[in-house]
Amino acid sequence: MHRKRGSVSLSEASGIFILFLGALSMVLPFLWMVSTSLKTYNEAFQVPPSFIPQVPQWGNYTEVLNSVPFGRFYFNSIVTSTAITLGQLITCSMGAYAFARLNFKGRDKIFVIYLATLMVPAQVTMIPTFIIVKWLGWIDSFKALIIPSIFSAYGTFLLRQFYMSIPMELEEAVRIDGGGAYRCFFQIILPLTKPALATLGTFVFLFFWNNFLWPLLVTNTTEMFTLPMGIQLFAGRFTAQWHLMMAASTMAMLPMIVVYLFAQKYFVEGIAMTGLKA
Amino acid sequence: MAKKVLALVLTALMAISMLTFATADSGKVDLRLFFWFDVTDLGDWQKTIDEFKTAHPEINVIIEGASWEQYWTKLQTQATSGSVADVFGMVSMYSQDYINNGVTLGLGDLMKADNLDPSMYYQAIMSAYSDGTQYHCLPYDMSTMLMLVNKDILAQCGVDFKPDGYTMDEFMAAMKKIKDGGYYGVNIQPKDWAYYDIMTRAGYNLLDDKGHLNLNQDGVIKTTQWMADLVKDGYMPITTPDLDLFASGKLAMTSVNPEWVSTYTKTMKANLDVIPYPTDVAGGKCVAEGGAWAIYSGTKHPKEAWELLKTLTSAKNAVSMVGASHRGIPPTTDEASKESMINSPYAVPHSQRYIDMLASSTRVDYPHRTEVETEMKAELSLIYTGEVSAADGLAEFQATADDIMNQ
Amino acid sequence: MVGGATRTKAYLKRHRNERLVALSFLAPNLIGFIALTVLPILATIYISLTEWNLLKPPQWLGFDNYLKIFVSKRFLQTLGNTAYYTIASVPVGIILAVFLAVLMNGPRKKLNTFFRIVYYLPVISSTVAVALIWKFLYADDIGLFSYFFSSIGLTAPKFLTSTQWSMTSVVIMSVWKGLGYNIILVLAGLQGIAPTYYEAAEIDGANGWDRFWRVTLPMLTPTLFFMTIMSVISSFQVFDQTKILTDGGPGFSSTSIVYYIYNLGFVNMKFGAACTVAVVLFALILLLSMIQWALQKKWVNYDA
Repeated sequence: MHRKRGSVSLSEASGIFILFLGALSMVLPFLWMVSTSLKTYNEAFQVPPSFIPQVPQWGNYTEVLNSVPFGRFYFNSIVTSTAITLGQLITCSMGAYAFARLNFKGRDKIFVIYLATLMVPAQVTMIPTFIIVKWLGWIDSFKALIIPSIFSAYGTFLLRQFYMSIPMELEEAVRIDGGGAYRCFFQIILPLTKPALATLGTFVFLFFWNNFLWPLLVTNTTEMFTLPMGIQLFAGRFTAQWHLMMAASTMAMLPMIVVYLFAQKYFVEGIAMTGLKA
Repeated sequence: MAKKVLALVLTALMAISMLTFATADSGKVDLRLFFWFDVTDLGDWQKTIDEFKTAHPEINVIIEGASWEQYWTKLQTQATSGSVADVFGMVSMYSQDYINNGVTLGLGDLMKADNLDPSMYYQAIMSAYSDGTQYHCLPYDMSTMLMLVNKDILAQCGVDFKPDGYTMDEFMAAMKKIKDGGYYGVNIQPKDWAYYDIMTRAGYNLLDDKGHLNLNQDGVIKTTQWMADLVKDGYMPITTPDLDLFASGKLAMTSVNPEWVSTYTKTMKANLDVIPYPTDVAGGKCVAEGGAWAIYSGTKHPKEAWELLKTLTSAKNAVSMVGASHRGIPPTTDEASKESMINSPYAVPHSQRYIDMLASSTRVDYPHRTEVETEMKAELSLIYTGEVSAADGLAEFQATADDIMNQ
Repeated sequence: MVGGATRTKAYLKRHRNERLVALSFLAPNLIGFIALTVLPILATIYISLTEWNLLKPPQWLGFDNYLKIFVSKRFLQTLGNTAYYTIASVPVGIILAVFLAVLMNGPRKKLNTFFRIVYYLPVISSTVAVALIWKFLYADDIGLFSYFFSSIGLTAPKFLTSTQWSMTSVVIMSVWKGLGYNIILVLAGLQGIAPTYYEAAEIDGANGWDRFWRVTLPMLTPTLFFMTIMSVISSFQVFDQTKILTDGGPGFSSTSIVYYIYNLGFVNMKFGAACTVAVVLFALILLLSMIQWALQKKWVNYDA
């Protein structure tokens, strides 16, 4: 099946066309968001809606930066999300390995309990969790923002599935050589699941970057606010300053795009199956 | 058995948490202040707080904020775990819940010691902050609703502007002309206390002799259906305040409190003024609600908190913060307060009207109010979209509401 | 398939019960898990047996809350809303994701990267910001969608202000938002399929379509299983979008069950009842997941 270089088959072209249409729908709301961020308060509600603001209000961005300590919010969000992501990658990859490969009594039962905990909505558990965190004296500190979130049943589940789809032969080879579980884990599993780790890492970082409910409860002073709470400050009791909120939201989104651009090249690496065929 | 163990554990947790509460011994007293600041609001309150800080260098005021919606979730969470701020914001719609559940500190003794006379505030609002024997909160503003009119649109459509309000017939005629001119006529789709406001002004009594809310009465049904019909006939758009047609000059009239007025006068270039709701009835009462400050019942520094509270609810604050910025009606009865609102740079020609309304105002308070209002909002939204008639909707609502209130 | 399960057992049998090793792998995960996840959940169960308004100590009620729930029409309504949401959004989301991911996995690397980035944009943004934008888009008469409809001579449905459309509008927005995330998961799964399988299939004379059905799809099943379970679990817990887009309305038609829980707990101050609904919801999701788990033997390929 060799094609001439540079020519496109019909099925490929239609595929790309479909992707383009979808991509347009993905992007449209964001164009709107950015354009609103450059409008004045009144212009934001103009009917019919316009994409190009009459006079781009770049001042909206400086107003956001000046009226709230946005830099501090950035810092808090970066520290929190990074720490949680690293913590989860470590605890979940190890835990998932135990569930996927190691044999111990009650393994599957405990795993089901893990899954079960995902099914209780956060809105109810947050009150008891808050009481526990308060008792530990962690309120209004990074500890409260980070530590409760390091343990994730979701991440464990995701990685377990990936591990289980890796053929056993590779680890058997290590075992035959006399290696133990740790060698299997570090030499074989970890390198092979880089795409999964990158995937999980991006999800976790992103989720906690936008996480709102928990930081709301455990932070009191503005110094400890994360970005989502900072954006909410522009929603007043009766009137929300949409143009400023959109500017703040755009600024909040930018680091995520950077993170994703950086991480997504790891998705490209496939599994290296050198030297071992079934 | 399990229940006892768990109760024991929770008590132990609470006890330990109180023991481990460390006060930084810098000689200063730490006072936590919690409020629904938004970006502009903090600017307004900052002046008053700074003045307090200068006058009381031995007190360190720690400011904690959240947006309006999140404030209540957070307050309840903090109340559960005994970690409410020393001084916190309150509103007259929810105050009874917190007072009845012991979250607020009774201010009777403190007021007596300082000879603070509650009659410096409008009595209209004070009943919301009392537990029957003493007050638990002091107000910093009051609010009621009026119709804000874009006079330019009226002029363009050939409608006379009547500063004292329209009768129902005049109003509907105006609506037709405005619609023909290509604009939306009015936006009033109240779903909470602003709804009570319209009804009481039309002369209806919403509370029955048991003190329960009763919306299933002819007059209320008729007025509600009138509002729904305004939507049906195209005079009223169904949009939330988020999508601000008034701000973009597509809507002729909208219902507003003083804070909304200042937002519009700040951002719009049109000629604006306030008028009463259209009615054929004279002398109806308005409903007044408002904001207040309270002290946490578990505060370690009641005396310092009281000093802060007095400053935040003083006549001075009412004049310089509330009135001057037109964010509410100053709750204090002195002349300076009244004038501050009228003279505010954000006032409209008849801002005076808000204050005049207070002369005959009432409150609509009844048991389980927040729960009933959730049902009310849902039912009203169905009525306004025309999916159910006002008669059917309100009857159904009343049945549910009666169950709730009879608990 | 059968071979996979037996081979796991055989593999594990060969190695002694690795309890201690397992413990060392699990320990950090397990400790925090018990303290900060299991404990609050136990507390939730306790609270569901009480009446608690958050401000005064809880009062013991026993099973009263549970009896009330099953005759509560509001509970049944929100449960129905949520079930509809799940049934509408999960299959559509996963099928679209698989379809688009396969299209994005072709030989043109630069285009693939471009699409990956663009499709992931909605996922990157906060639900709050996105919901606000969609609220504008959906608005009657003045929103962008309404504009599109009228420009081709049709009247737009009342997306957010009619009981027929409110939940569907939430579904559409949610599928849109989650698409990039699901695509990434499928792509990661696709990357994990060894090229040898494809080569073998080609040797057997399979064309593109066949390769998809005989190699890609079966090899994707562990990923799809994960996606299905997680999507169902998270769909049953939908909250933010319903709150911001429609505020649960009009008249509770788009109130999800978690929004109902939030309302019970933090608006009506009935935290006992809120926990009761949460426990019932939990039991329901658990049941669904157990069913899915049991069915996994039928369609999921491990180490084929």
